[in-house]
Amino acid sequence: MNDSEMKLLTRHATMDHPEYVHNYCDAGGYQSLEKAIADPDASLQIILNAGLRGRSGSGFPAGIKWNMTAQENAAVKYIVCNADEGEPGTGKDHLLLTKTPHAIIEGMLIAAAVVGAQKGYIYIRGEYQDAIEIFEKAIKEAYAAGFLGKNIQGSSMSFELELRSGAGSYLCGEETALLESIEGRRGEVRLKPPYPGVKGLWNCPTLIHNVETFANIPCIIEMGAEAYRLIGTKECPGTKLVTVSGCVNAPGIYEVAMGTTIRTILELAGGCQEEKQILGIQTGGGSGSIIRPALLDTPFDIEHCNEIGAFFGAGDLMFIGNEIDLVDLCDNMIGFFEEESCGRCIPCRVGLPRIRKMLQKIESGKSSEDDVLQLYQLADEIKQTARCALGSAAVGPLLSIAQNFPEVFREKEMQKVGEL
Amino acid sequence: MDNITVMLNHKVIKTEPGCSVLEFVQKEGIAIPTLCKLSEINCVGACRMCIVNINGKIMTSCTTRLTDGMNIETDTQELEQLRKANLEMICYNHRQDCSSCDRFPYCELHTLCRRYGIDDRNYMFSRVEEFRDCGPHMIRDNSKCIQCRRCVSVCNKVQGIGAIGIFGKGTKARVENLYTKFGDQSPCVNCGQCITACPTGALMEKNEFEKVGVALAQKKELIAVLTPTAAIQLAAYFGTDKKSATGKTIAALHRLGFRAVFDSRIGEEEVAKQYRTELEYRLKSNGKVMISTHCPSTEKLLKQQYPNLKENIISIQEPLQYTAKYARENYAKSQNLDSSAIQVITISSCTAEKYAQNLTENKGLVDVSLTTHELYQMMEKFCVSSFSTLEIWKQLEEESFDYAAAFDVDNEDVILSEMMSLMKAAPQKLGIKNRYEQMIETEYSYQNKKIKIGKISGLKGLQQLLKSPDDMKEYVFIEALACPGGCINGAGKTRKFSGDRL
Repeated sequence: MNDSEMKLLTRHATMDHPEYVHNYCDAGGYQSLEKAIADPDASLQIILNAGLRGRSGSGFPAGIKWNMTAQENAAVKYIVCNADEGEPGTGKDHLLLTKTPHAIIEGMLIAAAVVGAQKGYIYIRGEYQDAIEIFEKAIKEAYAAGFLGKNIQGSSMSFELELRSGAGSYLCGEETALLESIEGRRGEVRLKPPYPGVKGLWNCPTLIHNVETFANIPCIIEMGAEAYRLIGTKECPGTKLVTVSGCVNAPGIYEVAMGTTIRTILELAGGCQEEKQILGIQTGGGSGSIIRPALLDTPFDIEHCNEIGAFFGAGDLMFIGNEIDLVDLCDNMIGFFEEESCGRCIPCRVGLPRIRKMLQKIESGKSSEDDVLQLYQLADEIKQTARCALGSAAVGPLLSIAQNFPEVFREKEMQKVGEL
Repeated sequence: MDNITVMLNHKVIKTEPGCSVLEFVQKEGIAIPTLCKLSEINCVGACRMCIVNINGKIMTSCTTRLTDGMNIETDTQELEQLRKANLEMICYNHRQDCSSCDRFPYCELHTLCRRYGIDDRNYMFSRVEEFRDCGPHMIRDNSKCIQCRRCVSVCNKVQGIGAIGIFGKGTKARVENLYTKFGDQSPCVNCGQCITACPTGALMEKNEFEKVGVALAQKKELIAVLTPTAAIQLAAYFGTDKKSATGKTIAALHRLGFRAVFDSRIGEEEVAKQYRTELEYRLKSNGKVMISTHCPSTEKLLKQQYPNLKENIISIQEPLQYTAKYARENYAKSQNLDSSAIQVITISSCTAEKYAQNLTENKGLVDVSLTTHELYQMMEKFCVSSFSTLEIWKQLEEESFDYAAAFDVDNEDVILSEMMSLMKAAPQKLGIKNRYEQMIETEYSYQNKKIKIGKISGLKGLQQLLKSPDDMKEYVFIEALACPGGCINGAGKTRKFSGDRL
C-alpha cells in the first residue's frame, strides 16, 4: 500500500463474500448501529461535529440535512440511498456496493434511528446487475440476522429496506428525479424548494444521501468525531474515493484523504503513460471543467476546486492526454447529455443539439470567428436558463475550455488557413 | 398573513406571500411573456420565456414562489436577450408553415415571434410532417409541437383521464396520445379539451369541412342539424350578441347551400322524454341513481372505465344522432326523395360527435359531423366575398329553423328542464355546490320525499363523484357533461387564444 492511500471506507474491501452478515460482524460491523439505537441524539451530535459533507457533488453538510429531517414532525419518514451512479468516469459507488454492502445498510439504519424513519429505499443503477445481486443477498441476510425488519436487535426500532433499480436514465441520479422514479413516475427533476428533507418521497420528509456518504456513517460513529476530523482538511474532513481514468498507467479507484494533491493521486495511479503528456484534467465527472496541468499541485477537495474554478463533484479525475482533440471530447460529452436530458425545457432539448452542430462545424474547419462567438453565447444562454443542473452542467466543459484553453478554437482556425 | 417586502424593478412594494412571482408581477401591471403556462393547470417551466432576475439569479417566474426580500427585475436587456434566444430555439424545433396553419393567427408562438422579431428559420431536425392519428376526432402534428405539456396537464388535471404522455428522452422526447398506440383501447374519450389548450397548431380536429364544401358546390341534397351551442360559440368568437347567434348561423348555413336546417333540440326533447319515463320508474321502484349518457365522451368513460355502473346508465340514443335520423326521414318524405340521396351534416360544439357517429348503434345516421370551428372555416373558404368573415357575419339577417323544436328557445338545458318538470317545479337556476368542481344541484320534495338532481361538468369532478358511492346516492339523477362548463366549452369551438373559456 502506498503511503498516500488511506483505507477507511475500503478497509473491509478485501473480504470474501461481503454479502454475508457474519463476515461483516466478525470484522466489527453493526456495532455503531447499537450505539445509535441506544442514543440517537448523541449520534446526531457526532455526525454534526464530524463535519461530514455529502459525497455526491454538492458537498452539503450531512449533519444539517439530518437535523432538518429529524425536526420534521411527520408520522412517516424515509431514508433513500442514491446508488444510481451514472456520471461518466465514476465507479466508486460500484466498489462500495459490491465490497461493503453491509456498511451501507448500517449507515442507512443509523440515519433511520436518528431521524426516526421506518422505511428506506436503495436505488441502484440498472446497469449494475452484479451489485444488485450482491445487495439483494445482503438485504436478505440482514433481515435474517435481525438488523432489518421489526424490533431491530430487540429494540423498539423498525426499519424496512427495499431495493429499486433504474432503467438506464442518467437523470435519475439527481435526487428529486430519483424520488419521482421510485414513486413510479417519469424521472424528471422536481423544483426546489421544497427540499426532500421536508417534502420528499410521497411528500414525506426524506433523507437522501449518496452511497459513499452512508458508508462513512458507521466509521464516524465508531471512531468518534474528533478522530475523524484528523483525516482530511478542516472544511472537508474524512477520506474520498477518487476514480482516476485517462492516460495513466493504473486507472482505478483510490481512497485518499481529502485535500491530497492531484499530483499525488496521479502518482498513486502510476503516473502518466509513456510517450504521452497531460494536456488537461477533467475533474468531477463528465460535466466537470477541464483545467490546465499547471494546477497539478492543487489539493483535491471541494474548497480548493472551487478556488481554481473546477468542479469537485463525485471526486473524479480524468487525465486527458495530448493526443486528444478537446473539441471532439467536448462534442462527445455534450452528446451524452443531449441523450440523457429529460427533454422538458427548451435550452436543454434544442440548445444542446445546436451546440453540437456548431462544434461539428468548427471541427470540420468550416467555421468563422463569428461561429465561435455564437457558440460561447449559446452555451452561456443554456447555462443561465436551463431548468435543472443537467442543462447548465452539460456546457460546463465547453465553457471551461473557452476559459482555460482559448487557443483550441484558434488552432482550428489556423488549420483552416494552413489547408487553404 | 404577514406582509412581505420585495423589490420589483427597483421599486419597493409591500405585498402578501403565497403567490408565484409571475402572478405578483402581473398583478403589478407588468407584462412577462409566457408560453407553456396555462393558468393553474400547467406550470412546468418548460418554455423558459417567463424568466426574471431574482437576487441576481435567472429563474422562471411561474415556478418560483414569492418570498420576503426578493429583488426582482423583469425588463433588463440581458433578460430580453435570453428570452429571444430561447424563442429562437423553440422555433428551431417548430415547423413554421404559418400561412396554411389551422391555428393562425391565434397562435401564441407566432404572437411572441412577432414581438421579438423572429422570422422563419431552418427547421432543425427534419421537415417531415409528423402526423399521428389520435382518434376519430383529432390528429397531432408533432413537427409543430413545442412540448409545452399543456395537453398532458389538461388531460390529467382537468379531465382526470391521462391519455396523453411524454415518451422518450433527450432530443427524442415527444408528446404522444395513447390512441396512436392503443387505438380504441386507449382511455381517450374524444373530448378534445387538449386541442383547446394547445398554443400552436400541433393539435387539430380532423378536418372534414372541405368535402362538405365540395358536396355543397355540387348542389347535392345536404341538410344540416344545428346545435344552438355551436351558434353561441360562433357569436362569442365574433364578439356579437348571443341572442341573434342561432338565427345568423342558420342564415349562414342556408347561404352555404344547405337545403334545410334542423334544430338539434328535436332530439333532446325526445331523449328527455325517455329519460323521464325511466326516471319515473326508478323513483317508484327506488332504483339506482341515473346518470345521463347523452354526452358521448361521458358515455365512453362510463362504459370503458366504470363497468360496475352499468345499471346506472340507460342506453338511449344520443340527441344529435336522434335528430339526424328524424331529419333524414322527414326531409325525404316532404321532398319525395329517397333517404339515401340525402346527406345529413351535424354542426355542434363537440369533437366527440365524430367518434359517436361511427358507433354501431349510430351507423349511417350522420354523414359528417362538423365542429363550430369547421363551420367557421367553411364560411371563410366558401362564402368568398370581398368582406372578411366578420363582415359577412354582421350582414347576415336572422333566419329561423326549417324544422324547429317545440321547446322554448330561450331555455338551453332541455334535458334538465324536463327532469325538473317531473319534480313539479318550475325550471330554475340550480344552486352552487362546492364539494365537487363544476357541480350544481337542486333539491325537490317529491311525494313527501326529498330528492336531488345534479349537473356536473368536467370529467375529473365526475370521476371523483363516481368514486364516492355515498355521495352519489344523494341524487336521483345526475347530468354529466365532459367539457368543463358544459357543451358551451366544447372543444369544437372556434379558437382565439388557448385557455379562454366561455
